[in-house]
Amino acid sequence: MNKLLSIAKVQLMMRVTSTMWIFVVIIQPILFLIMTLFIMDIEIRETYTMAAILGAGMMGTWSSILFSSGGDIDRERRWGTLEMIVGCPTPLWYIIGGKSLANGFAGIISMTLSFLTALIFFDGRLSITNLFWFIIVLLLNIISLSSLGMIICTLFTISRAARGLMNLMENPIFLLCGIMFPITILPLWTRPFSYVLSLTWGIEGLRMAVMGIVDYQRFLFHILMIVLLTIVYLLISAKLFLIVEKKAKKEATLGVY
Amino acid sequence: MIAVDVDNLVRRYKKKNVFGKLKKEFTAVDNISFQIEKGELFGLLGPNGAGKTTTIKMLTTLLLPSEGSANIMGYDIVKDSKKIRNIINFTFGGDRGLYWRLTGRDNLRYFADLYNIPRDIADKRINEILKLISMDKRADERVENYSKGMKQRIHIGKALINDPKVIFLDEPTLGLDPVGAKDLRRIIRKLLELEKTVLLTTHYMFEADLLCKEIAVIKNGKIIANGKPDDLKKLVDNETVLEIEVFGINQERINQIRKLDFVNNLMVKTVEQSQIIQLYLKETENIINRIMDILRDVEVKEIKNRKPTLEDAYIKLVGGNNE
Amino acid sequence: MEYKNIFNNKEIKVSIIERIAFFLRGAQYSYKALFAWLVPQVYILTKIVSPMFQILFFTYLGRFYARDLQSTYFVVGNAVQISALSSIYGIAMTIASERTEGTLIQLLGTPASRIRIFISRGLMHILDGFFSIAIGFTFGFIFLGINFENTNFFLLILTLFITIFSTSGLGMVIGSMGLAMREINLLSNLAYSLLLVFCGINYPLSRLPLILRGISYSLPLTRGVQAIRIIIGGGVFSDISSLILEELCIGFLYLTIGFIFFRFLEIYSKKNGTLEMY
Repeated sequence: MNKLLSIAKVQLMMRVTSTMWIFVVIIQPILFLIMTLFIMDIEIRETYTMAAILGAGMMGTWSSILFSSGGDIDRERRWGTLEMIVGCPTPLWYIIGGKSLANGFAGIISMTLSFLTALIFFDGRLSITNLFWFIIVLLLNIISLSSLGMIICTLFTISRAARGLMNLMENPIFLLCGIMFPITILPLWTRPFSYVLSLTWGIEGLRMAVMGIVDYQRFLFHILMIVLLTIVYLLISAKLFLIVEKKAKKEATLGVY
Repeated sequence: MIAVDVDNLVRRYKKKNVFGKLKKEFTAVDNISFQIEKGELFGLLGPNGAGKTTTIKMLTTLLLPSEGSANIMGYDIVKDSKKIRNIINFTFGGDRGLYWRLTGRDNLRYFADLYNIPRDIADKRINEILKLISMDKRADERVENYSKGMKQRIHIGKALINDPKVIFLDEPTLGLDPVGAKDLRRIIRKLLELEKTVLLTTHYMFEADLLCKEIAVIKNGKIIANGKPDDLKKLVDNETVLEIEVFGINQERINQIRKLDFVNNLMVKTVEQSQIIQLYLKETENIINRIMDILRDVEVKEIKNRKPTLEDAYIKLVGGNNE
Repeated sequence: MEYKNIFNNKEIKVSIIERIAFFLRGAQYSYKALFAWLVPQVYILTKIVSPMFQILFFTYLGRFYARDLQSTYFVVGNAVQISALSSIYGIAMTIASERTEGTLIQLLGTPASRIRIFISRGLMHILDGFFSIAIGFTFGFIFLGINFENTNFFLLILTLFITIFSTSGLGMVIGSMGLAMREINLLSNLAYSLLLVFCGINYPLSRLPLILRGISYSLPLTRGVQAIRIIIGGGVFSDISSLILEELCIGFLYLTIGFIFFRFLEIYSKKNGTLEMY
């Protein structure tokens, strides 16, 4: 655990100096928030401002994990340090886990800044009804997205072509998880895809905590789903890591692919 | 006829610190003059950072001189830069500077376009160039698949694309393996058969010795010697070189040897696990004992006495250990 | 003689047709050399699939939050804006890559006209951008109900080209800046997003505060997308003539700024010896 934290710390220090990181964590969420608020009819803006903030915050969280962790892997491949990382005694699982988690926690910055933006420029009436549950769900979301990020990072280590998919994991995920609007407006056939993404449950959970939890059973079911899906993600990523390590030892070609 | 005429050329750079203030001036090229005859291969020789590349950049119109002037085929490098670009070409060392995603042939075609050469002429010319640089068989592969030597050859090919009168080659063999470098030198020699005037920079003395008719040695921006290779060799004619191959010698011992009164200069080369100490000696009488005295507890593999080469002349000029 | 073409010392006359060919081939080569996606799959993902999701995302966002705007509004806006993938990212990358590939110094050593070098870098991306929009519109037509019944296609294509051209001007400015600094990715991302926020892509400019509308009108794309909406709705030339004229001017303005910056860098680096920076 200590190792995990130290990797996370280094990662966070590095991030602050990277402009790509500043873009995905600070600029992009704020711009998306602003756009969403401008799209809204004035009369409903007040009702939905908080939902837009939550969406922008989670957007920053996911993009931070995706681009920073994925981008790191790509950079290390180009620098030829990827094999060194795979080969070093600290398991790859820890390294990527630490990176993802650190980048995930950076999402709190997105959330806070979105909140402030709305507060200052859109004078929204902002409040969080169940602060306790809000924090719990937020943390769960970050951990859950980080574990999903781990799967994706491992895919990046296996294949260079996966990098082309990086851009494709932003908008589609935002769309399917209903990050800014309820998934009920999407066609019915997309529902299974939404339900296997923990963020679908997570964002809804956040909205409930903000608006005030009416149906606790329903709320706890959402939390349960996040936890379950997170465990599944972790299992999948652990399995993938084993494959990568085997592949690296057998073929020593990580740098080339 | 004089093809390149360099007259008191100076180039200074302003160095700024992090805050953009406190400018320091640094003279990269300090008042150099030389001339190159048409059809001649001229070598500009010097250690890294001596000012070779800066000189070439000025002569290829990519950098303005701070002072002095230079003419190429009678054109002034400042006033007639566009005319000069038509009649010269250049390569800079290393394997960058090509479009890796294009084939070797397409790189040449692209540059042919940029040098305003109509396609029909360019294609004929490119075929000949590819033959000359022995790349005709692999011309249609992407550059990213080439070895360093092949990329460097394509660079030379590019330098021929506009049928230039003067060609500037900046460290063309930099980073090549011995076979690749040899191959490249063969190509460079061929340029002379085509009556091109060539200015070559290198920090390998033997390369200059092999290729060049005239050599200028440049150090800290100044030309410190100028002449035919044989003239430069005369600088070390009355010296003797002693090479001692040892295992595991420490700096203290080396310093002791360096201080001996008959040692002019000393250089240490590391070859695998052993070191070779090269001693440039003023006299040779009764010296072995005094050296062996210092080396008494060091494992000595071999002691050799040899005639000085151009390399030694170069070391004498640029001075000491610059490994 | 074996190498008669390498050393023939003859003056070559270059015809105008040949000069046009230089320009067109230069456009092709630079596209292929510096930008072309390594594999078709990546091209399809980044230039076709990913933009579709942008269109979908904003269309659904609009359906839920903006009851006064129809889906068509979002489909058209985003389909046009995604051409900025070519005109901003594509062009900026193509220009700035000369630095990272180390080819800029080779380029500047040639006698080729700088305007030719500069502009030829944009040409393929304009076509590429047009292709993106065409796909976006097709997608919108099949799945999201844009209606082209009253559309004058000639006018539409003309306006699309003008719009992409003017956005390309901004791409050229960013590309030139990318030659001087390393943050080309950030700049392109920023420009792409700012176009999305300010150019009336997902909401009419009337929703922006007055001060921000000033930004909108100093950016390319704003007038173009406005004109395109009018044309798709059945507008005729006289409805949009002043819009596209202004759009064209904005394009030329940005192009000029970009070119001046490019030339400035060349001259500056020649004087100060900062070409190593490239």
